[in-house]
Amino acid sequence: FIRIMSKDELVLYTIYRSSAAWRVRIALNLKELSYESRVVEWKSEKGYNKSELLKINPAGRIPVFVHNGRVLTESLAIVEYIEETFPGPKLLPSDPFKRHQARAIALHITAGIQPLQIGRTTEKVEEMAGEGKGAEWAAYWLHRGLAELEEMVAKTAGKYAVGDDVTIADICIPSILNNARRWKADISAFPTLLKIDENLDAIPEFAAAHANKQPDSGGASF
Amino acid sequence: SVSNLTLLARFGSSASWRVRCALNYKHIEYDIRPVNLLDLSDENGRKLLQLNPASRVPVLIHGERVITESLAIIEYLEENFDGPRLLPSDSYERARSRAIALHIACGIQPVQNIRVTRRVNELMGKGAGKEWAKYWMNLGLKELEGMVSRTAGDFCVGDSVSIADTCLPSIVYKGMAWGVDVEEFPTLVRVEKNLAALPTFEAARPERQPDAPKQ
Repeated sequence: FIRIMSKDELVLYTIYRSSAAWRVRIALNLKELSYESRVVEWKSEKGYNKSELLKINPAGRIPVFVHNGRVLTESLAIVEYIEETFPGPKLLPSDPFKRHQARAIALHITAGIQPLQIGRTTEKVEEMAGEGKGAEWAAYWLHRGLAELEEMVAKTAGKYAVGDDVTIADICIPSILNNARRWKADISAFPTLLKIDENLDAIPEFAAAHANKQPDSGGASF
Repeated sequence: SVSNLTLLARFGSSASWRVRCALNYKHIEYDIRPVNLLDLSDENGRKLLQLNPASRVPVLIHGERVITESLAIIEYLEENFDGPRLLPSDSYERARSRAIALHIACGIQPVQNIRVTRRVNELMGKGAGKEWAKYWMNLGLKELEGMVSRTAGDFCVGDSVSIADTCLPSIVYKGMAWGVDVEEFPTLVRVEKNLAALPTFEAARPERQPDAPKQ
């Protein structure tokens, strides 16, 4: 795919394994946008380290997207902004109900599942419940949330999560399934999700955004 | 009902509260069907299970359409109904309002809701749920104060009510319920007071709902 050279200045503060950054990488790829990728190394002495990130985002969360000096956080807010601001393939259906369905799926993932299994949550579980309990916790919530998600997409899916066009819902799927695999949540009973994931992986813009394909993934299999 | 809208909701549910704020603020008429999540055997409960097997509230029924996920419901209302706007017309302000709403609805609320604290109590012992919830509330509200202090005027983003504001009253309420000292978050307290003075927001509060426990 071809990047459009733009007079816009786009910067993404990112870490390869961040699900939220992964979603934004997909959206930027789909719109064929050229951007500067600033890899955040939290513990580093220099570069885009913790103190640099906190200057731009006091909450210290990834990703941060900067468009001509406008600082944006929260992956779904960034994706909606990208959709509204840049031309290219639409990331939301034009039909009002399908549009809703795409957002509902995206939010079920980002509100209903993702926060319960991110690093800072599982670390707190380990601190309170003991070593090894974080993994159990993550697998439990991933399985439960993905079972609900399978029911949702079974009603809406065509080739992708909502019909046959890629939407904001699909943008959220690869990373949450990757998390399920990492935490060993059983996803074998979710055929619709697995098929959608397979279809998405065949799209170059999605494949290029994968955690394992980033400059900082160091050949890791995440 | 004039707009053929029905809301399945629970008085104390934060997600329900967000949607009530939006419906009220936009002057959209709706019928409310309270659901008792502890006993879904009545007519409303059975309806909820039929529409949303995960038995989550709120569910908005618009004619034939079943609309779920509070922020997605609010975006749907914004796109399909007239009335005061909940999304700023400036794209940057719009993104910042959405970011605040998302930080609340994705970053704070889900980590301390009932199903999670219940599981924490099961795994870590009675009382652990409260320690857990207070921890995440403190952290989340601190981050929220940082965000909102950069954007707030009278309300979360400038001087007009937006989607961010629909999420604020319930998270401050929950924070206080968990014993967080919200006075540490002056912008949040100030904006919440301004919202509480709006009749449309006041009418969305849990104690104003038909299924609220009688005092």
